[in-house]
Amino acid sequence: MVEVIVRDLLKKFGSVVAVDRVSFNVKHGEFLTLLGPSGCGKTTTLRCIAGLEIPDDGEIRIGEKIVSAPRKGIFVPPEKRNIGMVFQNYAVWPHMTVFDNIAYPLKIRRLPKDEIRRRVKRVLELVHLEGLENRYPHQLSGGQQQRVALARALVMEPEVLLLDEPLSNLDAKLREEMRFEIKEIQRRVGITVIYVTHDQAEAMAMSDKIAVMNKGRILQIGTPTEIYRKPANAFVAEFIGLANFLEYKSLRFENNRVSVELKNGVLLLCSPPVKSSDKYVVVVRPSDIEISKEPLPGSIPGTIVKATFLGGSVDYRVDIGGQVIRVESKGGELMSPGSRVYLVIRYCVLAPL
Amino acid sequence: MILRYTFSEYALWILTLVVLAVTVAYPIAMLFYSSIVEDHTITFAAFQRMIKDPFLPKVTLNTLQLAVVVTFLSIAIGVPLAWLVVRTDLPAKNLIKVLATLPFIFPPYLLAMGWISLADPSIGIINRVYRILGGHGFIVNIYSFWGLVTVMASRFYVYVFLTTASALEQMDPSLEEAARMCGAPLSRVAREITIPLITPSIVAGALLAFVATVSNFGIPALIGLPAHYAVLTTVIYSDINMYDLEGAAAYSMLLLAISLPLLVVERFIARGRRYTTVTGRATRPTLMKLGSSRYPILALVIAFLMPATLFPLSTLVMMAFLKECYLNPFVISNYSFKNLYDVLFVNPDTQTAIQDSLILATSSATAIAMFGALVAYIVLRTRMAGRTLINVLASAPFALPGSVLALAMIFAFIKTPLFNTLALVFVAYFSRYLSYGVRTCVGSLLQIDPTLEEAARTSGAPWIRTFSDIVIPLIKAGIVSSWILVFMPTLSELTVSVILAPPTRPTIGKAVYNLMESGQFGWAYALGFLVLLVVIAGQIAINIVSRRLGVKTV
Repeated sequence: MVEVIVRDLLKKFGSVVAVDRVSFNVKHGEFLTLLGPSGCGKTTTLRCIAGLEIPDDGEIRIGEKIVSAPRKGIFVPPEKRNIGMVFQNYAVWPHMTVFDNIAYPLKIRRLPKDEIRRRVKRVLELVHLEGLENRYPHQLSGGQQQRVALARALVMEPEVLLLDEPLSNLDAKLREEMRFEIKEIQRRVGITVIYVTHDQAEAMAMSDKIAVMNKGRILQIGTPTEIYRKPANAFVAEFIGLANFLEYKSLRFENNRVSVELKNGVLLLCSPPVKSSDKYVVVVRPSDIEISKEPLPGSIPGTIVKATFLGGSVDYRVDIGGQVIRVESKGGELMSPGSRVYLVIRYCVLAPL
Repeated sequence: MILRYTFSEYALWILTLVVLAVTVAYPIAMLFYSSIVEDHTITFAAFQRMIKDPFLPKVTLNTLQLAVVVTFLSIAIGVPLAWLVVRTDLPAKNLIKVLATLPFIFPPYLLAMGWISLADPSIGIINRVYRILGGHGFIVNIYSFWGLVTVMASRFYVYVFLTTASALEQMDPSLEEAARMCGAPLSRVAREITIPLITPSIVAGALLAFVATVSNFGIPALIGLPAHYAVLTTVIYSDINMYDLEGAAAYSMLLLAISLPLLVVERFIARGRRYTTVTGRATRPTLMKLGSSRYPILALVIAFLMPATLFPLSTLVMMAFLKECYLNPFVISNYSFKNLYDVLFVNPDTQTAIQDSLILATSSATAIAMFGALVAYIVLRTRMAGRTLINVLASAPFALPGSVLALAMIFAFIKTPLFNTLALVFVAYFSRYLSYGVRTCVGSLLQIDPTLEEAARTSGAPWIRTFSDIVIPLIKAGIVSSWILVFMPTLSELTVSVILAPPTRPTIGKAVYNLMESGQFGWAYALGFLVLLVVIAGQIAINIVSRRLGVKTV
């Protein structure tokens, strides 16, 4: 069952096109992340779904209901869309206690008092905030305020939960903790989530599907693995994790393989591109390259230019005859610049330019 | 951000435009219309009068001469004082700050009364001491050009002091430190870095002092008229009193021609200033060591500030309690509560004045606090049409001198039943002080992140509930302070009231003025003392409100 449908969404601010005819579907219970650099239109897309911006064109459907369709003159105000939303700066009301903040959506809907108390208690347990009902926001830590915002969005049991960079104001350790917690809550409640972030690691860890956006358009939608392993273009490849782009002399398409001849004459077997194009790049992740001191079958010889010790791994820059590529090596002994090495590329993929 | 608008939103939007049209746009339009059109034909009557009036060059020259002298004095006092308070290790800085800004919280005519009680040729304390010591006649006379200059400078220099002090406080100290690292000695740093950087602020403060001087009515009315020193505002007043509205319009146009361009320049400078020297960093500039001259300089500053602020206020209080104003002020038994008692419980004129002013101040403060919050919300948080117009209209009357605004109200409402009633005084107060309410609410609304409202919308609250549940509680401090900020000046307002209030129903300000004119000093000062008390109480209330209700931003 499809929960949210966005069709040809267009949003302009003056002459600037913030969202340029974006379309996607989110299935019931699915976790979709809109991922992209700042200014790519991801937050505007989310705010259009929330009803906080009026789209210029296109259609947005939540469940069975069309909530926005400028051509048909339809616009449902945010308070009638029955969605939960968590804002980047939490937007916890400073003049209300934790209880009043969370109970607010229920009070608006005129639920009986004991029902409100019961549901607030339940959602407080869900976000691990038991016992803090009577605190004011300024008495809470950033992470706790975040949980209040989450509880407030969940308390009315909406079909859809929207999260706008909810973790970006937290410190690194707490951010990682909250990632799993949000994912866990989503799984337990079974709610449909649309999540906005610029942090690719966050998107990878939480999402069922990721939509990579740039300049108001969606470049690729897919599972984290698809996006990482078969990027739709060079931008996606570079934005999602580290990537080397290798130049090639010639390509030969086979069944479900492409044999690539690199500039230095080395032959590689790569995965085919998701779309055909007249120009490609060869994408190789630094972690997909094995580095050794001895030549191995099909290995590429090179010289280490720079080695940076990162604790769990070593980041090498290796010159392979005119091009310097990045290699991430787990374990093994630390090799110094100038060493002669041999590289084996375990996985490579062609991406349209 | 509010999106599509509901019926109630449109209703409020229309209400806002109608209120501003009636209280602001229409009167101002009528002022200009009446200066140009007479009996439905374009005659430029006011401007013809301007050219022909033989008295006009003299009055204009008087006004400009006064403003120039007051402005130069303001710079001469305000800049060094600001520098001493912000950039040196002068002791007792907080006391000096309070003393220096004290004149600013009182209505100008109250300060004029203070100075009269100090330096009037017959009742002034200084001259009485002189006579007690064996002198004859008087040694100081407040009713003179320099008397006028002294009173005005002692109030309006505060503009220069405040703008200069805030520029010095907000200036990035690293700009000066960088110059010192380049090898510049302190004197060169001051000359080549500090002074050029704060010059725009000094100019802005000086322009405000200049405009305040030409626009002020209370001081030239109480001190200039007896000295036969007429300025534009007092001529407008006497022209209206003689029903010469055409003449009043001519002088009003001239007054606007002087003040409005200067205010535009001031705005321009103030806007530019925001982007240059102000940085968000909370670094403190290094304080200059005054060394062994610390205490002599402190003594000098206090010796200057005491007579400028505390002396006139204390003699004002003395006059309020002196049984008869000619009695010896140095004999305890000459003091009593009689004047105060008369004013509050015996004299029917002052009793109605107090009652009327309380009603007017309460109603205009309440109306402005509510309407100001609405205007601030529409301007900042909606994308409704006409937002800029609403903003401009709400702040326009503030740029008009009180006497000009009063004249505009006469032109607008002379043919309506409102004319010659306290209701018209209310309209004029509303128009004149509306910008206080708008600015205060804009200030508190700016501190509130719009997502707090969006969170309420996505929680299911329609905009009107968002406004009442989220916006109003969060800007409560702003609304309460704007109420007090309007209540205080309207309670004691002079200029608009003296022109618009019906003769039988004077406000406190008009009653004080009438009593001063007819020489009933005892009652005048008793009423002035009450104003003084209210102003001080209001100032304390404002401080408490801003401290207690200050919005905690998350």
